[in-house]
Amino acid sequence: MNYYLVPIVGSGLGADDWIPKYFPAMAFEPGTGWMACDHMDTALIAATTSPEQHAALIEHADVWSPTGALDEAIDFESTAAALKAHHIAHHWLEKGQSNRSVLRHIVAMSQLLQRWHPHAAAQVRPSTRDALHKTVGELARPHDAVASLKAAAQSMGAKINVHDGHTLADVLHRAGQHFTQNTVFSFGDL
Amino acid sequence: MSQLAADNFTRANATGIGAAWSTVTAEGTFDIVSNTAACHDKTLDSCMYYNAITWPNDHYSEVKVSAFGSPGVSAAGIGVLMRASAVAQSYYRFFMTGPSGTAQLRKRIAGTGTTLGSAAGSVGAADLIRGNAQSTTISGQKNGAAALVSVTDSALSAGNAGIHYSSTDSNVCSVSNFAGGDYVTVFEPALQRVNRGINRGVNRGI
Repeated sequence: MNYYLVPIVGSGLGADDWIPKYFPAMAFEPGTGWMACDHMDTALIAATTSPEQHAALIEHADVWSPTGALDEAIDFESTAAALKAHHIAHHWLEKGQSNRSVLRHIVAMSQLLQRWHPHAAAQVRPSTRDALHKTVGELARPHDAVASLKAAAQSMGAKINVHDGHTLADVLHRAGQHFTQNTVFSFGDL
Repeated sequence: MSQLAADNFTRANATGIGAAWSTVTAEGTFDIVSNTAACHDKTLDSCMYYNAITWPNDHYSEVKVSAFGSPGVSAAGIGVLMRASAVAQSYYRFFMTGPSGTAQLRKRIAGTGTTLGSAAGSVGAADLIRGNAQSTTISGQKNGAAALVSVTDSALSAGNAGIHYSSTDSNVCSVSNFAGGDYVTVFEPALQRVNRGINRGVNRGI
């Protein structure tokens, strides 16, 4: 099982689903394939790619895959750069963290974003890259970002302190901590 | 795990599939055709949910494939809905396309769709297609085997189980059975276990 960060493309409307770039067009052996965890306009993918497919994927400038095994320490600089390039909060990264812990934190942060989407009643996905480092109070939409983020978190059993002055990245990080520590989830081999 | 609802669609041909079924907002419908549920308009995605019970948040939805026309046409698929909304175009759907096709897990939230996963896998008549929604684990399987696709997703926490047809062409797909249920474990009453143990001892001459 290999892991990738890739952009999400498409409009999400009608038959034009939001899809992770590259993967839907790839061929897989029977019983194998890929799964996505959407994080706004980026997807974390777990896939049973062949060595050839993996090599071809990481040739793309907009695809990142962690170096080393899941329980090895991250390459700090390249991981931080990759998360930044994919519009994922990365201020919480620490040297010595394992690839597994970083990927699990991304999945955990995604849980709040996914729940927030229907609560916000707005298509927030396209706005991620602009929204991540804005304070919640500055977010142009949804209009009631504080209330809708709180509602999304509470609906998942998390009491996360959200104020106008928090950046969305801060809120996501704290949500990620909560879900990593208090909920059971799995994604691929993570 | 227990079954909470079922429909074998064995009744006279009709437009629609009965009062126990509702159409998801902005989606196509199914008809009763030769004791199966077949999509009404083959050019539309069709999504109907079973409305005669209140579905638990965690549930499974399963259909038996009756017919799958035009094998190899990848755009068409047959499958199930999980956590389908009664008021919005929101649901998880797991469906499979024909021979040399794929198993696909997708979500649609307030009308916008996201593909969550895909695996290579064929489907044909008599196959059982099942979708599971348990907490934030959403998965799909065929004929009781291990999940073909399994993801972590939190967008929808509640809703209804139902049936689904995915197409933009003129394929003919239908299902002959629907079943849905929960994951509640039914524990054997303690006294019953004690009695069973005593009886075993008696039978062994203890």
